[in-house]
Amino acid sequence: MKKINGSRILLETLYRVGVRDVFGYPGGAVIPIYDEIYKFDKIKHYFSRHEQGAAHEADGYARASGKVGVCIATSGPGASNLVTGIMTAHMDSTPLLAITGQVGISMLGKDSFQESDIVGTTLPITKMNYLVTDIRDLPRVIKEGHYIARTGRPGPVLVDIPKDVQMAEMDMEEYERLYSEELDLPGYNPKPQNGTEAVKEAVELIKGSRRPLIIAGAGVIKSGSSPELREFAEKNNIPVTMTLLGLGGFPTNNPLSLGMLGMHGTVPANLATDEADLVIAAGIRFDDRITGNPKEFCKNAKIIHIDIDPAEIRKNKEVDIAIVADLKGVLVEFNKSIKGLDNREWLRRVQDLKAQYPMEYPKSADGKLMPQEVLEEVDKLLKGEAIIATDVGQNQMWAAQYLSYTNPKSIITSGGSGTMGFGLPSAIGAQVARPDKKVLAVVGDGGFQMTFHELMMAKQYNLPLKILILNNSFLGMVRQWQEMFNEKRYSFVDLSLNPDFSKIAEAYGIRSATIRTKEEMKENLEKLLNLDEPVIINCIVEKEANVLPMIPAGTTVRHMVGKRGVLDGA
Amino acid sequence: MEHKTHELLIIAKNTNGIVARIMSLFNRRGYFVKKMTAGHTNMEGYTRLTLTVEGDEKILEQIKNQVHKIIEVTKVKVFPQVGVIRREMMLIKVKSDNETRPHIIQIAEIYRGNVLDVGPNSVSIEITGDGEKLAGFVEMMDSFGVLEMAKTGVLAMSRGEKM
Repeated sequence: MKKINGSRILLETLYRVGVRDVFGYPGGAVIPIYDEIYKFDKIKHYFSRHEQGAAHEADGYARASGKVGVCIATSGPGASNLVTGIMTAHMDSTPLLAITGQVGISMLGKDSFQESDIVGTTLPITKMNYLVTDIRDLPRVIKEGHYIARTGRPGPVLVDIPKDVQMAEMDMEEYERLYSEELDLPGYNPKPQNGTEAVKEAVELIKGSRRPLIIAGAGVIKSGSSPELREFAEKNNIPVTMTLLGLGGFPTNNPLSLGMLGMHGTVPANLATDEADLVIAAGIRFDDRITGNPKEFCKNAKIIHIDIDPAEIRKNKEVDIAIVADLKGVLVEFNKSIKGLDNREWLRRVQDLKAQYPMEYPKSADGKLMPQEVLEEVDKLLKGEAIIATDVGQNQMWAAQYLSYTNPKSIITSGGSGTMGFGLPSAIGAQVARPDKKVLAVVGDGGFQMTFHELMMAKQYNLPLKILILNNSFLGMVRQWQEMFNEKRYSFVDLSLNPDFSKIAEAYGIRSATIRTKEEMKENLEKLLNLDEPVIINCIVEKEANVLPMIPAGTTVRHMVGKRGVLDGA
Repeated sequence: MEHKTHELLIIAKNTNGIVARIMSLFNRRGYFVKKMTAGHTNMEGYTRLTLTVEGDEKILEQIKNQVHKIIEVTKVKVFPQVGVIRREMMLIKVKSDNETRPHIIQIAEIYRGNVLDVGPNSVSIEITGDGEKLAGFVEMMDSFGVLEMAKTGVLAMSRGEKM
């Protein structure tokens, strides 16, 4: 009788549930899995250079495609290197399936070589995790893990597989039987629906409002409801602002868009949110970077909160109507019941705000490039059609503020966990998922150094992504806080001692260019962005540019500084 | 709002680490568990936990929703203050000699306790009841000298047919 081993079960099951690409790094406790990967040609394995890279690549892949991203690592340090990536995916609700090898069952609990309790470690940062100690559980666990990762509010799932389970065998017939068993998840409800009553109430509230506003979050993108949102906003003249992770859920260049909301959101977005009499919070979780002081947030508005996760309701912010459901269905209902609201007066006010407060930044005194103008130039060239992966810090905020996002899944950024080093690997994952798209990683000189080893993958798989380093030789965001709140005591943020990024590029066999002036930028940027190969574009920018406007943490829109792009009093 | 104690019923698939999963959630969200009992139930493969937690209604609602997010959890319910049977059990070992032994046993009988073990210098008693009754008995025993005490958390069940 034909036999199948645990490693093959893993790959076969992944294939059957739709996985075609995985990112990973081999090691002692996954040698049997890698032996099967060697023979199994239905799934392509991308060889990361660090497990953290593999996790972020799988995450970027998931965010760019909407599919589950899969990463594989060995036990002990391999698994623990995934942890930052798993946490990042957890905070931003990305469907990620992490497969880790584990020491053999008989070696468990004995502090064996490269043994680590990764299930215990990842307990608080996974949607679900498993230690598989019986090969007969493996088909179900892989199927179930994949299902749990992508349904409801998506999230990371980890499956830890001891080496002897990877090598154990079962009859092919038994595998088929176990694989075809229905999942038994009586406690899991990925499609909650708290009745039509709340939707009806919401409809009445919307119809009666004079100054409605939509805050669109990641839920818009994850539920695939951008078309419904657009119809709803456009037919009823409702302005839309977005969270960082919601950018692109509504086209940021649409006349109804107010751009990003929150700490570094636009002035019009934050003022309009404060003036609105009704806020429709669509797939957002009222993160502190959005609300500032939650008590003061949307102070003049009734709030309708739509989220698929009941635990998000009233967690951070009291609301008037809570709809626990898939956003798409709710918007379809809204579109059936609400048409042609007349918000002309409110829209005029919002357009006035937009005219009054465009995004501004000071010109550099000594002819240095401003990071904002680099991104403005990039935006002219890419026209909001590329996938942008960002790192974390100033580069991330400027990319959010100065680039346009016309499609969902076009910004890939670590919002909740703010993981430095996320930009490059997530861009690699995005390019693997979307070979048809132009992918640009916007990174800082600090974060780039945390994961630049993954450059080798761009070379190895000829991924034509572009890496734009906004190089200010500072950990810019921390420097900015030290400037604003610590009287410029620049404590360990100076990166004047940076490596030569062109030599790093050269070492990895990747083309690079350094841009220092406006002229160099005008002359080279377009050409560089259009090359059909990976390119590092090292932009030397003004060292002490600030991300503005800013609502300092825990405060309110009334405490916003830098409305005109310069620090007040500076 | 007043912080009251409440009993929270959780029914979950009895998988490896389910208690750790639930406790980890309570720890990281800053919810305080005062007492806990866990054990099998009449449904095979399921475990029933009763947690005694502190918090106002808003926190309780959060706890309920967060616990429900654990995939293996099939039911979460906050017991109302009335219409619920609540029981705790305690084993208590009290210092005794020939003179005090009859007094201790007599008090135990009043409290409907069972004397489980009698030694030359100690008596061990099992007491079941609500928290107040148990506290009352401990107070009575204090003067004799409590040597050891073991308590379960609260077991709770709704009166009537429904869970």
